[in-house]
Amino acid sequence: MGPIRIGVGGPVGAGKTQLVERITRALIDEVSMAAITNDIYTIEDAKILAANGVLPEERIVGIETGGCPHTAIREDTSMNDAAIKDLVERFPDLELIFVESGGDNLSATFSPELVDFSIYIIDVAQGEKIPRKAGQGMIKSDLFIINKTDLAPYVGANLDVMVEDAKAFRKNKPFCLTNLRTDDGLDKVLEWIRHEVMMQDLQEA
Amino acid sequence: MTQTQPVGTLRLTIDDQGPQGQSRAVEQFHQGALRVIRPHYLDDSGQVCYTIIAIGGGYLGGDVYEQQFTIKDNAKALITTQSATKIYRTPQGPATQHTEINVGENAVLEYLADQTIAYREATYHQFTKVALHPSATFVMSEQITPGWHPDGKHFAYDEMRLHTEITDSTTGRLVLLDNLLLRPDSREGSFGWTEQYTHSGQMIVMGEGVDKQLVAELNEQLAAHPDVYGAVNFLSAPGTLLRGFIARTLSNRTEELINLHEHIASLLRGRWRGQEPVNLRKY
Amino acid sequence: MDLDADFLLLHLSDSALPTGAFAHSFGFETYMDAERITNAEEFQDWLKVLLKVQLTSSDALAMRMFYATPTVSELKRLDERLFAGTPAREIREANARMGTRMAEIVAETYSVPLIVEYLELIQHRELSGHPALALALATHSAGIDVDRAIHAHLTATVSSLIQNAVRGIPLGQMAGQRVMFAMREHIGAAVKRSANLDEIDFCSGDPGLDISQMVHETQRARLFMS
Repeated sequence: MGPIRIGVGGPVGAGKTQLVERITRALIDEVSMAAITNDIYTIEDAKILAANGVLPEERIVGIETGGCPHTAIREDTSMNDAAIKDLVERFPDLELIFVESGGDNLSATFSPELVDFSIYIIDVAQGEKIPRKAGQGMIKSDLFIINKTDLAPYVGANLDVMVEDAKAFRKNKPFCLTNLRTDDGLDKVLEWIRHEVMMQDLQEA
Repeated sequence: MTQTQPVGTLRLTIDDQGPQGQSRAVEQFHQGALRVIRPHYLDDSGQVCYTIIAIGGGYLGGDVYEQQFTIKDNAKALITTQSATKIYRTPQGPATQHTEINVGENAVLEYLADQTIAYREATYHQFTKVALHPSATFVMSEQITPGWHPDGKHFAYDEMRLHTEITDSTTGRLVLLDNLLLRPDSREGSFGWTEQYTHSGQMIVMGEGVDKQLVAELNEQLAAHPDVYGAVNFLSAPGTLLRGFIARTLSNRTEELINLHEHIASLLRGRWRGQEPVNLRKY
Repeated sequence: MDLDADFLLLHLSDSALPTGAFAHSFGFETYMDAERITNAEEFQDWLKVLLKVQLTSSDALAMRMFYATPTVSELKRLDERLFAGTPAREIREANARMGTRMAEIVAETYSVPLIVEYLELIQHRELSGHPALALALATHSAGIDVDRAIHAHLTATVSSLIQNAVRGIPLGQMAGQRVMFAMREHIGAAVKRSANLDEIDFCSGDPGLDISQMVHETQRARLFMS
């Protein structure tokens, strides 16, 4: 069986690390978690997560993926597989592992052998047209998040347009609007994790 | 070990049963061109220091030297050479040195050799087999210096091979196979080899005190060194508790390498055993 | 013509095989950082040295020795010596990871004697895993002769290093292809030379190449894991 693995993808600066940080902070008392960060050049994301977050350092693994961050989560996942195996060995009670991809292009998706669920996160400031570009990451992910909603007025992005486009491409798959600086909308993400991923309502029934 | 009679043989077995628990030789055998000077105690730690002398003046073609050092449980020894090991022309075939080392439980051996100087048309094969208890401390350093050549040409030697194996004596597991091979003739392209330097050195340290932090610290020191280019890497392997590091260094002067190696040896003996820095002033 | 053997060889030496090879520079990134590798010519010079010095005396010789004595105890001995014979920590770990993955792929696809045992020994942390050995297990059981097997392994290794150089340095794609073609004769020479090596040559290396691979772990900005 092993822990459930959630992939977190999205363009550079969209808030992937912050999302993992906010989720783990909220769930730390109920779920045994770990995180793997894929970073192109360095393990800066892992360091940031360790410095700002609630996860103990030994539960965070930083991977340098080299020049191809999408390769490490899609066609050659061996480095991430090895990291997961290592985490499971060290923490047999793990229930949830976040696999954060490096800042990808819009078409990056996770290998189904690497993760059980995936989240794709973009931010408003990257432009209202991002959902309309119909990247595979946005379309295929199990949860789509539009972050930094507070910036919409400053960058001239119309949230309604983004929501409509997301609905059109994702059919009925879930998406949320968040502002992770204030945890606005985070409850929707947590709800999705509890119900769709952990299936806590089923366990309790 | 070999068919022919070695030119020099040296065997030393050291235990810790001397007066006041000092380390001392309980078995000492030498034959031919290898000798040791009577032991010294450089500090009050009980560590015994032996200096090896090769009385032949240098290694020649076909020469075989054999050394065996056994450091029993809890004993502490420092072994050094009196002067540089010189390898002259070897038209009769390579000069060879075999060394077998065994360091027991909680025992310490620092084996700090002077430089090995390889002259024109010299071929030298050095085989060193080290068996260590996981609680032992082992420090080895050596330097390779290209010998003087009438045309001022460096690298006139034919071949230097330094083959070192480090094994866990309790499990038989090999931790390090260090097979350094320098063949000036077969050098190709501008990468690798001794880069733009002439002298190469190496240091192998095994001990429970080695960790990644120490390796990082030594790498920082190396990076800041103006005259030595090198790196330190952590050593470990499946099937053994032994841990250690290997340092490879390059420079244009023997002294830079020797001083650096002694500096590291001193740092570790101070930190691990509270001993004073190594002082082997022989020159 | 043994199409099954050809298939196995082409399949397992495909540089797109998911073993993680795309993340390793085997030290050329150190020279990139020092601005000693900035173009295709310099990269090719480096690649020739890596092939001649390291890959021949480690990978190629290990495959040859396994073919000479294709037993579990020899497999163990070679795996142990390959790991211990690599002074650079990142390269040891790179080989262990790629070797483990290669063994997993072979075990998943071909029913090759020893591969399950090899994988178990790796998983139980008795052995480390090495791609050259995992490949040799498969090619040996498929009846592929040792020269062809070594040739395929070296070609695949060279090819993935070139792809990494195309991304990392970066080189143009056609420049990469020219380097690949230029390596053809050097790969052939390495296969031949490995036949003249003995146990005493196993994992022989030079200080400069070792340092370039050892110093990489302290490099601040990097694209590759090794």
